[in-house]
Amino acid sequence: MSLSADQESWLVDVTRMPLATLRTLRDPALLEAVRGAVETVPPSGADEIQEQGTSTAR
Amino acid sequence: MPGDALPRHSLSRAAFREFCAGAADPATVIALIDAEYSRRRLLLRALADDDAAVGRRGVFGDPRPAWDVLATAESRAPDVVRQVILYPPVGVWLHRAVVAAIAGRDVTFADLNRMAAAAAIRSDVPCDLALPVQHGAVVLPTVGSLRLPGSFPAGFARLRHGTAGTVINALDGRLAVTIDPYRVAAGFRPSPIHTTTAAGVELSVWIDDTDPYREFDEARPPHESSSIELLEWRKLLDEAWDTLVHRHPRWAREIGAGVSVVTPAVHNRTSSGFSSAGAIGAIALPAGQSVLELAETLVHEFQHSKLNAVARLVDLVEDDTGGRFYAPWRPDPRPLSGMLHGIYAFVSVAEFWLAQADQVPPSPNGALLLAHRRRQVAWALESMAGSTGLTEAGDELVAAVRHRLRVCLSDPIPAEVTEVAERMVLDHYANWRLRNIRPDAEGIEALTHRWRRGMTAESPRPGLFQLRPRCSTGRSTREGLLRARLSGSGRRTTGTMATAFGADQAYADDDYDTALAGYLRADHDAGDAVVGAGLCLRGIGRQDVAHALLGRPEVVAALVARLGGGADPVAVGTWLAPVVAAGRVGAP
Repeated sequence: MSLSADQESWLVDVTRMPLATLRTLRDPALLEAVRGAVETVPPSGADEIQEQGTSTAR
Repeated sequence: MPGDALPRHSLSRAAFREFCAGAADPATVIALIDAEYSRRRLLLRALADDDAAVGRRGVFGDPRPAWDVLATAESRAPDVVRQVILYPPVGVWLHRAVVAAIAGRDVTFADLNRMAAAAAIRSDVPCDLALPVQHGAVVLPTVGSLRLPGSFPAGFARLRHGTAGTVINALDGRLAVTIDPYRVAAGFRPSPIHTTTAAGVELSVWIDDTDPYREFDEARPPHESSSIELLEWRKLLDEAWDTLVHRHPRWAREIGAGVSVVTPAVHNRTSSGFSSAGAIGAIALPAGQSVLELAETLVHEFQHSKLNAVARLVDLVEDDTGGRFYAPWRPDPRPLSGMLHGIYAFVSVAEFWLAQADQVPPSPNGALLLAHRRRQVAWALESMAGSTGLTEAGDELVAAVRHRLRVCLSDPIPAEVTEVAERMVLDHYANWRLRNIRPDAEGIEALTHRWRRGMTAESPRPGLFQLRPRCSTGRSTREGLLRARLSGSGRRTTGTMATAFGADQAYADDDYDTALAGYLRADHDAGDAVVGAGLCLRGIGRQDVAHALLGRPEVVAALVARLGGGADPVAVGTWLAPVVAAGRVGAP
């Protein structure tokens, strides 16, 4: 992110795209966004679980 | 729809700055959730792509029937479909399914069917779908769960929803259960939802005790809370929410906008709260917390959710592979992204306790919690100093945390309390080094050689991380005793110096000479002898030797072991002190 301006992310906004369209659309920008979304998934499939540190018990 | 016209999510400059500064405006939180909604829909597309679906077999091998139901439900009730897709445990399944697909394994769409059935029921769309039976239950996210007779490790049932109502057929059609999604009956229980309002600010959450992915890891059996347990959760949430809204209104507003699920954790109990990047908006909580502890945990865990969401829109870390850093709240070395999570969450916790400081009567242990958290964050920032893996935005986040920490540090806390916090972090750091850093073998040999010839020590060579599986260290005995002493609940024990506990008790009582003698007994754990001795020497005022023992405990312990009975930790620490004292207590 530039420190001086707003910046659009890679993430295409498909919140209002009908699911019926979303499954079949072959738009290159959409396919690129699908690949981008897949890249956000950790390779193991298991996200790290954030937990309060073990030294925090009260 | 032409590709160039596809809109994109963004985080405004002002919103990012606000995020760095602490609590976010509810509108910002909703924008982050919107982005997560797009991400999940894109992941669904990745899984249900026609090409990817070809050749899949089995009852749950074809995503198209469920997708069609979801699409129809969306045309009728888009908000319902949004809630179902955004339901936090759905994200856990999505991540696992995507990884399975990438690895070329067959993807089961059983969970997609659960989502579609839930959406169909809530939007009154006819459907006929197979549903997974897991551990004897059919679980429909945001709707409820049906407990079937017997205990099924796996299998499937069939749900039909239409003008005749909602019927689940199981046992090859021998069992048919008509459910009312809003009533407890015939083994069905609607998803418990709790809404609480204070001063006009609302929190509405599902209390999820049945979804397989509610604890963010492998699929778990349901663990339905009893009606009494649910009442207790509701009461606790009411009271914690009241505290948040009245004492921490900005945190309350962002939590109200962003937290949608609270999970009573039954499988993971080693911590006071959990969250996961895959399940943004969910917090898992073991039972037994006080109102204040729950309020603190909600603040803490939601910071992780927020940061996880922001990190998908804004690159904060350029290179997350190059460094491993000391995090004073974890037993293991952390990458930069983990450090950002820690400092961002714990500075918020410090602010929570800062805002509690003027409470009358004061919160039990509140001063210690503030002193401890702010000291931990300060140390973590020191640990990260000099790292080059952050982006400009990441640097800005760290700078904001540093600024927030300065405010927390400005609060006067009694010296006795800050000293206890210091003793706790020093103890943790030394144990962290013992656990995670393997001394350089040649360096130890060289030091052994010099010791035996009566030479002066040379500066220890840097060690290597010995990365170990995630382990839980629990609270040290010393830390527990110090906390008890400060809270006035400490009790003298009859332990003798023949036990580790006896040395720890003497240390917690500031009886350093007695404690030191206990730690140096031959039968004491070798690593703990080094750390215990270092802490005692610090108390006695022998700072240089203490610095060697607490700053390089792994080197001292290795040397003591290599020298056999020829040296004890104090002697080795004294020998090393001139070359270690000048060094910085930090990374290996």
